[in-house]
Amino acid sequence: MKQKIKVLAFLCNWAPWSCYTGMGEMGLPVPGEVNVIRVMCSARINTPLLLKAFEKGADGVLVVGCRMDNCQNGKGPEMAEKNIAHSHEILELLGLERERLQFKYYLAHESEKLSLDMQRFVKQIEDIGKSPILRK
Amino acid sequence: MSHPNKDLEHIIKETGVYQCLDCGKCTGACPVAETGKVFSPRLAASRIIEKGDSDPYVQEFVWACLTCGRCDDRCPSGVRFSDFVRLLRCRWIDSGKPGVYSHGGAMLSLMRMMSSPHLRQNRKSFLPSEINTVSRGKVLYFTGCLPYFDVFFKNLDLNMVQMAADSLKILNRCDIEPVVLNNERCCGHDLFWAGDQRGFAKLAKESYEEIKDHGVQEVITSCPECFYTFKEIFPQVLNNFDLKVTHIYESIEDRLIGRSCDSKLKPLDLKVSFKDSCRLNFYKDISQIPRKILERIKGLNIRETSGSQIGDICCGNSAWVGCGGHSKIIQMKRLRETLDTGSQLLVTSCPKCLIHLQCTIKDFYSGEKLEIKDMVSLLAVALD
Repeated sequence: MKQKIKVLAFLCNWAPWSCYTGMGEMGLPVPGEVNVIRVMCSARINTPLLLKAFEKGADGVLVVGCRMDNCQNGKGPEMAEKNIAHSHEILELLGLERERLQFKYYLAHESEKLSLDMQRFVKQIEDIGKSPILRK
Repeated sequence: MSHPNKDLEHIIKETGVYQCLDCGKCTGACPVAETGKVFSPRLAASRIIEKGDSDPYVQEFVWACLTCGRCDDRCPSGVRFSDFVRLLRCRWIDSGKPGVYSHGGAMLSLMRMMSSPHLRQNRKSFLPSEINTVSRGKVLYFTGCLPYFDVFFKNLDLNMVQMAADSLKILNRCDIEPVVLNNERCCGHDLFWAGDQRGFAKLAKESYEEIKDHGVQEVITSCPECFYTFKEIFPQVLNNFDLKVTHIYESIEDRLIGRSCDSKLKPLDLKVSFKDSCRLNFYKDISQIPRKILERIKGLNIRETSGSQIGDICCGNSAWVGCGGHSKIIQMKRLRETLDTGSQLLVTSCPKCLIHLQCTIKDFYSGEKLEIKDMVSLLAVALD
């Protein structure tokens, strides 16, 4: 039987979290594979935390932040993208596909877009397959 | 009287802590205590015998120790404090409590990931085309964490994969064409010292199997920690371990120094100072080789620091455990000693010394004319 994949999504407290609650209000689907963690800013998710997610068995990690000009903290999304680019280099050395780690940004009303992107991401990770880290 | 806690009793006996005479030589030698931190191995020993390891002083002690082994070296009763600390960390981790790690535990995460048998790494991409390596053979060059350090510590501009390339260049000059594995797994030194026994055992097994699959009989390392782990720890955890373990300095001494190519070493007009590594200090004959190599390079003005006569101090951090104010003080002190000798270049023998000291140079001594380089990189320049 095909093993169910595990996706971790770090959602920034501001626009992305509002999109996420909007998804609930509008009855938009949230894929069961996605585990959501709410953080105060997408920039908080640095390389060690991303590596930890993969170490603990995540097959894909989605970091969701605000749009660049809409950040409450100034340079959050810019920092997040830097962290992700840094982590991509390490994933490459480890032989893990870079698609397993992605950054997305939204405005507060874009619930439909977030829902679609989550489903698309889950599909993409399913196509790549389980991560080799904890594979039996 | 026996200790109420059986496990703890075993650790205390095993590492000889009951033999502590309370003489204080350990505290006198300890680089952490020297920074002014209230930190004493003998006090921790007596507290643990009296109150167990839940005592707050002991808990702080366990994660602040550098495990550099300076106290072990000085102890007249043969207490193995570093090992004592390591076993206490194992107890801590086994009880489910999180350890105190630097860099968010990223390096330890990488090591745990590398223990997955399904992982197919891509770590050989740095290899320059002029280096000769083979895909199967008797001798292996163990790159260690260098490709990962290179990416993770990019902000330090150390070009750490160049160190691996330089080591391979030297090995080629020694007429050795080694195997370099694309899917090499870490030696696990840091997991071992950070108290993750299970993680280490798993990684050691995978690492050993990966090496044996390529018909290897001898492992050459340029990292003192990999050398120590392969030589001392692997035989303890792997029943069938039968690899010969060589440090690159031994290969250089056997095959380069004193031979004809020795006279072809390019002269370098530099004032240099050498930084010993704590793991290589366990091997007195090997730890002296770098100085012999430096003496062979004409034009080098070797300046010893005031502390080097009594054994070099640690670079302030080990096994990615804790990195606080006292680590910085140790690093600043070591760099100040180097600057006081008038050296332009600090030559290190361990990649971690290179990282930690470069970090402090960037933060505090960027105005000074002090560069830092690994021994193999310096020798590679002289061999050009």
